Amino acid sequence: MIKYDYTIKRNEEDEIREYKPHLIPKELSELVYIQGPNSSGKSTLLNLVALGFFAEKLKDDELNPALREKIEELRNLKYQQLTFEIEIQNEKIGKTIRSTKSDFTTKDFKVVEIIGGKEKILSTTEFLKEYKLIYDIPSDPIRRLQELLKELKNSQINVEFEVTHLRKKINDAINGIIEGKNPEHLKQLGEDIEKLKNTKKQLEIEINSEQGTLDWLKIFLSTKCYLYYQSQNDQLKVQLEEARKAQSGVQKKEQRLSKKQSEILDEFKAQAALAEDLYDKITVLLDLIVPTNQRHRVNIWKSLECGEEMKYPSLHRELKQETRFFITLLRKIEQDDDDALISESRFLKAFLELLKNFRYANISIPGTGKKIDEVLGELENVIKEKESRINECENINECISKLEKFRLLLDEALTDEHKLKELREKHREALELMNDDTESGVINKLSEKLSQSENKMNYYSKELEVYKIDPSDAQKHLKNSENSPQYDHFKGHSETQLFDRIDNGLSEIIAKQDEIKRIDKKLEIAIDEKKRIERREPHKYHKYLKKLEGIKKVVMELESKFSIKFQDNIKKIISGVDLLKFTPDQKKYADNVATFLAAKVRFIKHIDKTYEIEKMDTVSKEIWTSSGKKIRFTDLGTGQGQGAYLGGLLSMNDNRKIIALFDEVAMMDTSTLEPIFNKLKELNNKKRLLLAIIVQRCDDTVKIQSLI
Amino acid sequence: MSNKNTPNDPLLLFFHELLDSEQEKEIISMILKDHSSEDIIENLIDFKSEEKND
Repeated sequence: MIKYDYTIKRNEEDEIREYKPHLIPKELSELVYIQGPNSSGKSTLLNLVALGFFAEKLKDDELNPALREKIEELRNLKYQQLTFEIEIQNEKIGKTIRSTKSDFTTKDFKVVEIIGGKEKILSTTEFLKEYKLIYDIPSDPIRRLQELLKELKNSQINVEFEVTHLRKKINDAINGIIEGKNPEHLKQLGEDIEKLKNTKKQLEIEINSEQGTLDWLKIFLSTKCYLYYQSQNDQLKVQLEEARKAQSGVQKKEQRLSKKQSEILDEFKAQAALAEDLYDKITVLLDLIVPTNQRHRVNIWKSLECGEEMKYPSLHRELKQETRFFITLLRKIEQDDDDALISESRFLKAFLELLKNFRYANISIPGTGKKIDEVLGELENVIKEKESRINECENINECISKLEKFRLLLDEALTDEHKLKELREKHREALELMNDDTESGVINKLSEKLSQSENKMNYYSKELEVYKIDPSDAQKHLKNSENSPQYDHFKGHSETQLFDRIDNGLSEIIAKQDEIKRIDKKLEIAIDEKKRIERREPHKYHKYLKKLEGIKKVVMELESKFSIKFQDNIKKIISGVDLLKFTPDQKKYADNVATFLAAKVRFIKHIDKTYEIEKMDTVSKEIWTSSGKKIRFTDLGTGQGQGAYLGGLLSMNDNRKIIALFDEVAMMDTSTLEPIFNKLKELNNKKRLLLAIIVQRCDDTVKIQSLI
Repeated sequence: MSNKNTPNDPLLLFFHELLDSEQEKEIISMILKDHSSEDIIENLIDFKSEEKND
């Protein structure tokens, strides 16, 4: 039974009007069908029941927006004030709930549950956990079939939530077992500890062994390299000495050649000066003595450069040619002259000179009958007469003599030029040798190499001292190392290879020492954990750890299916995606949804018959009956669609007690409503229905029909 | 949530058709029958019968 009362004070601008129940009785059956005209208060009743039992807390897809708006308006203090009391009593279920709003000025109301005479205030959460409020106006019944899918989606979400909760519980159990005194775990810990200790011991052995090898290697390296560099030093010193000697020889040779060149050049300068002098004198003589028909040759002579020909005798030979020409010419002229005349003139001159010595002696020259003084005078006259011819002859002789000397000088210049050329070549070679790497460059390299080698030797000498080995005993130690087992392996290693081996060995030791540190930490943790676990009590499921881990995997897989796959699939179906875009898996899902909806709705009235539904496909919008008939949604009468929808709403799996409020089921005739009524009765018999009010508009007076 | 439906409950059947293993089906059945997580765990590990044997 439902008992209710309300007062609504509404500001209608011209008056404040009060509304109270008047046409619909204040006490009604808990399963009631109300028909009445507009404004008979039937929708108000439904709205108040909805308001009083937390309809505003329903999700958007659980409450029609138009109805939500109406409910919110009821509480709008701006233009209306409200008080109410609604009590739903269901003897079959044995529960009574009451919603009370007693203050006009506030929006607050109180809901209580009465069981066995005891009242308990219900919060929104507590109410929604126990009771399911369904309040609907089927405005577009065919489309509203989609709402059934949303209910399915919510069921899936609820199952997902429970699966997640189960998974967390399993996790907690597993963690509890692990943290509790688990013999298996203890045994495993013991084994792990033993394993860690063994690993540590092994590493220590390896480190010691490697350290021994490295110590041997360091001594081996130092003795071997000390001796090697000592020997190398000796060799390098010898090579350096030889190189220096070679260089010194070259330097001396160069100096000698240079000096020789200088001497030749000095000599040449002197001869060149002499030649210039001769040339000038010859030029004067030629001017005097050369016959007119050969004057042009004198001009040629004059045009030539004596200095140039002296400098480059192999290049210039013109002067030499002219010299030969004039020698030949003048000799010929000399031969043509009277030898006797020349002899006579010589005699006369010599005689004159003799007589001059006795000029003042009073002596007569025999055969002449003349005194010396007299004869002198005569002689001087004769000589005077013959003088120019004599001079000419003397000039010719002198010119020839000078030409001969000049020619000699030219020949010597040519010889000197060749000599100089040779010397210069040798000098150049000597200089090249001095500058060449093969000589002085070699010395630098050898010096540097010797310096490096000495440094190395000193380094290894100090290393030997660190190992308390006298460098002078290095040979002996090297010999002894041949007895060591490692010798054969390392005897062929170079210095670099030995160093690398030592470095690698040290790195390896460090890595192993780090590993030991990590193992020590792990040991500490494992031993602590073992002690801790030994002090504990075992978890009640401790024997089932493996089983639980297996079950956890199954539950996680399940969780994934519900949270991802099934949710995606239901969303696709609700949003009306084309079936062609479904994967085979999704098609299977959609097919199952169609079967599920059919099982929910079960029957549909079409035209004049009622059919049992086999599949209800909301994607293709088709219904398949068990008799093989296909009915399209669009072919259904709207009332039948509503019937199917409402039937589905009431069939949703929910153990909560249902408060069903259906308004304006006008599209549905009696035959379409009948399945709904039957469904409600069924729910009532199963003690699942707390209250159901179905309201329909009609033009007649108010009709109240209890459906119980 | 619970459903006091018969084993032929449409929602249960719907999920069973979509699940692969028997264990998954068993879990969903227990969830829809409103079993607590602890009950479900103990059923799955067969806890009570083993404890009895102990």
